[in-house]
Amino acid sequence: MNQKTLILIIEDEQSIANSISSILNSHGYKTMTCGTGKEGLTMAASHCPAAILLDLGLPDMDGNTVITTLRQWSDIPIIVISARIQEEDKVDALDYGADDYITKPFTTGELMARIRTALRHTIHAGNMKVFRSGELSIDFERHQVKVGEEDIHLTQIEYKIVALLAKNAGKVMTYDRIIKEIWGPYADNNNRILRVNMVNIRRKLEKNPAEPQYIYTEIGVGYRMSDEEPENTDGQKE
Amino acid sequence: MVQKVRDYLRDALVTIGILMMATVVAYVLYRMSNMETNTPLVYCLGVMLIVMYTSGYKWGVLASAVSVLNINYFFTKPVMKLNFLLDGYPITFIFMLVITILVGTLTAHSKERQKIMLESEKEKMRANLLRAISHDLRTPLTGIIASSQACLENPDLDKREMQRMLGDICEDSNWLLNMVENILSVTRIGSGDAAVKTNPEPLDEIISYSVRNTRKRYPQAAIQVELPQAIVMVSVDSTLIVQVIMNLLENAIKYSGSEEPILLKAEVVEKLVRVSVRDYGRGIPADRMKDLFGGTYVCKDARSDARRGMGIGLSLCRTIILAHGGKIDGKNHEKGAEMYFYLPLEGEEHESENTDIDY
Repeated sequence: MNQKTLILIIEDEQSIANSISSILNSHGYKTMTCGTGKEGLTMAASHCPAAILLDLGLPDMDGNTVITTLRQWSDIPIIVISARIQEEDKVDALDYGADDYITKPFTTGELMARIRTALRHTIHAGNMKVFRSGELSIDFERHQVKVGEEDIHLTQIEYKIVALLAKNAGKVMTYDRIIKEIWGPYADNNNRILRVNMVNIRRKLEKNPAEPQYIYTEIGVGYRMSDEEPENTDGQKE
Repeated sequence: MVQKVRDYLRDALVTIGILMMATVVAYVLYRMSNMETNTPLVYCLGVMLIVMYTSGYKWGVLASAVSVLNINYFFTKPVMKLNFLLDGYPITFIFMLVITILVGTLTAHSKERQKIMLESEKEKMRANLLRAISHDLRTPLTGIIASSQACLENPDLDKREMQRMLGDICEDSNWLLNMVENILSVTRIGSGDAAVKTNPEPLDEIISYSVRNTRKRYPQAAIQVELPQAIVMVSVDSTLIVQVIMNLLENAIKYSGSEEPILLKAEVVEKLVRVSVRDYGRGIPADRMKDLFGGTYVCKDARSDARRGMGIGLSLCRTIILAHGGKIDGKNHEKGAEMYFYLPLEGEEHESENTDIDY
C-alpha cells in the first residue's frame, strides 16, 4: 500500500502543516499542503488524494463548508484536526460528513492510526464477517461475541451497538448516529439509554471497565471501537 | 423565558404579600390608637421592603401608588370609600407618593451600587488570577526559548545533548498546553444559576476517560480505580469534571513523591457522589491546609521543578465543583493525602433497562 499514497493537508498554521507533513513523509506517504479552503478544494479535485486532513479554523472559509462542498462530489476520507474543548464543532463536522477527527496535540502514533483507519475503510467496508480486536472477536453471521475463548452474553440492543461500532472500528461514532442506527430515525435524541447500555456493555466486555481497551469514550462526542489489529488478520480478509 | 415569568410572579407575590401585611399592621395600630398618623409610615416601610426584595424599582413605585389608594380607602373617612376631596388630604397623598417613590428609587440605587461593588470585586479576583497565570506561563516559555535557541545556534551539538533539550522543550510545552486548557475551561463557566451546561453522564465514563487521558501524559503512573457497583449518572459538564479529576491525579503523581498506586475511588454516599484521589506520599503540609484552594499554593520541593505551582489547578477545581453545586476538600490520612469532591446525584440508580435476549 506504500506506493506513495497521497495525503492532502489543509491547515493554515504553517508549522503544524510542516510537522504533520514530515511525519507522514517519514512513514512513506506523499503529502501536499495548502493554507486555505479554496486552494484545498481545487487541489482535492485535481490531485484526488487518498485522504484529507482538514483543520477546522481556516482563514477563508468555514471548515464545515469545505466538508459539505467536498462531499458533493467525492467520498475521500476526511479527518478533521481540531482543538480540544470544542465538542460541538467536532460533532458538527462529523455530521457534515467528515470521517473522523483528531485532537491537537496528537502523538505520531495517533495520527498514523487515524490515517490507516481512514484508508482501510475505503478499501473494504461492509463485507466483514468476523471482527477482531485484541482478544475480542465478533462473528456477525452468528451474532456471537467472544473475549478470548469466553462467550459474552449481550442483550439484543447491546449486540446491535457493539456490532455497529465494530463495523466502523477505529472511527468515532457520534451519539446521534448510533441512536438513529439502533433505535430508528424517530428515536428520542436523549442519549441516556445509550449511555446506560454502554456501561453495561463495558462491564461485560472489558477486563477493567475503568480502563476500557475495546470501546473508548470520546467525551461529549461518542464512542470509538479500537481497531488494533491482532497478530493474525486472516479473519478479516475473507 | 420560563425563568423570567417565574421571577415576575415571585416579585408580584412579594409585593402583594407585603402590602397586605402593611395594611393589617396599619389597621391594628389604627384600632389600638385610633390615630391614622402611623399609617403612612407603615406603608413607607412596606414599600422599602418591597424595593429591597424585588428586582428594579417598578414594583416599589406601583406599591407606593397602591399604598396611597389603600390609605384613602381604608383609613380616611369615609372608610371603605375613595375620596380625593378631603381637606388637606390631597397634599398628604402627594407627599406620601413622592416620599415612597424617592425611598424606592434610593433603595434600588443602593442595590445597584452593591452589585457594581460585587462586580469590581470579581474583576479584581480575575486580575489576580491573570497575574498568577502569566507568571506561571513565563517560566516554561523562557525555558522553551532558551533550549530551542541553543539547538538552533549550535547545529553540531552532540546528539544526546540535543535530545535532552528537545525533551525539555516537549515537556515544557505540554505543561503550557495543560495550563492553557485549564484556563480555557474557566471560560466555560458562566455566572448565575446556569453556571455550567450539564448533561447526564455515566460516572464510569467520566472516570475512565480521565484515567485514559492521564495515562497518555504519564504512561508509568500507577492508578487503581474503584467504581460503584450500580450504574451512576451525574449531571455535569463532562469536560470540566474530567479536568478536575485529571488535575487531582496529576498532583498526586507529581507531588506525592511516592511510587505506590494512587487510588481513584468513586462511591455513592447518601444522595451524593463522592470521588476521591488518595495517594500514599508525603501528604499536604500543615501550613498549606488553610489555603489549599486559594491559588497561591506552590509545592516547596527540593527538586528543580518546584516552581510549578499546583495552586491554580486546585483553585480551578474548586471553581468547577462549586459551579456544579458540589464541594471539594482535601485532608491527610495516615499514609498520605486525599483530595475529594462531592457532586449531586442525578435521579436514581439505574438497573439494566433491557430485556435479556441472549446471543
